[in-house]
Amino acid sequence: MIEGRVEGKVDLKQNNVTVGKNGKVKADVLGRVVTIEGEVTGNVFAREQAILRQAGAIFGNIQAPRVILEDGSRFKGSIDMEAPKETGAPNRDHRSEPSRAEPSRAETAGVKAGV
Amino acid sequence: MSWFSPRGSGPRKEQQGRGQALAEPDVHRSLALAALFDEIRGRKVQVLDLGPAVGSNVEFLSQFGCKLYIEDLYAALSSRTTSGEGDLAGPEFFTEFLAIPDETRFDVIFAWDLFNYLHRKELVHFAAQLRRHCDRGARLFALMSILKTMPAQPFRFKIQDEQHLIYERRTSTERPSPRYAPAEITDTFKGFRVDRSFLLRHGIQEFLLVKD
Repeated sequence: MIEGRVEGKVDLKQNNVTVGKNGKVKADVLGRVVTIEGEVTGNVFAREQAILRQAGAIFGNIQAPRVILEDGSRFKGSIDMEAPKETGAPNRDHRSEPSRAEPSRAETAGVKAGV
Repeated sequence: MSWFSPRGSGPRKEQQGRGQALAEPDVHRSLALAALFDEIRGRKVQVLDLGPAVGSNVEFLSQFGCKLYIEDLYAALSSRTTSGEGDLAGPEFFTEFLAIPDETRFDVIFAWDLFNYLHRKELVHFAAQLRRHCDRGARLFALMSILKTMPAQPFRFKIQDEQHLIYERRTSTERPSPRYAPAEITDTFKGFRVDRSFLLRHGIQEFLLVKD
């Protein structure tokens, strides 16, 4: 669960990742099931599923075999419903901030893998 | 090109009074949509959706294995207006709005009813921008109002199935409709031709344009 501000890259390909309502992420987010309840500026790569909740926003691209956008959510970008490559190397796009900081920097809250 | 008003294209639900509470969404048959899906079946296509992100549309389109770009034109226009940058959106606005790599090409564009909310000059600028990202055979789906008035904000469209669209009103207030003539559409979208056109009983003319 990510709450607070994060910049850089969230790379948890083997785990579920949730950006909580108070989460504000400027980074690419990689995970198995990625759930966005807050705001992500960057690309989202989910090996299984990406879920954008009603209060959530993604300004970037989504790549996942299955994508759920709840009504009321905000999204600007592209959706590619193909499984991301195992390398997790995202296709760069003009929309996303390049991931500069690695490892991820969590400014106000911890980042931990979901189960 | 087909010019007729097919039977069975009327709403399934009784329309409620306008200017009051928001009416229940109507479901309308869409002949152009059916034709469009016939065209793209079995192909991996790149789709540009100019409406707001609608989960059910994403889910529906996923069966076609497409790459979907969602760019909410009306939201962008609305935020521009409130920022007080002038009355009409110029070419710079549309370039910035569709800020995608030059090499990106769309096979299908869902313009929904948004062209009704653009001034003629804006339509010209936007058409030029869209043309850059379409190769021969690209298809553009648009719904034009032929009534005197239309909702003050675009409908939210949900694809129910390959032949039906759910029209969700976002406001009960109305505004004058530009009532663009078919010739104006083809003049504006030079390089495209009208592949199909259907005049529906609820005052909407569906256009399926194809890039030559």
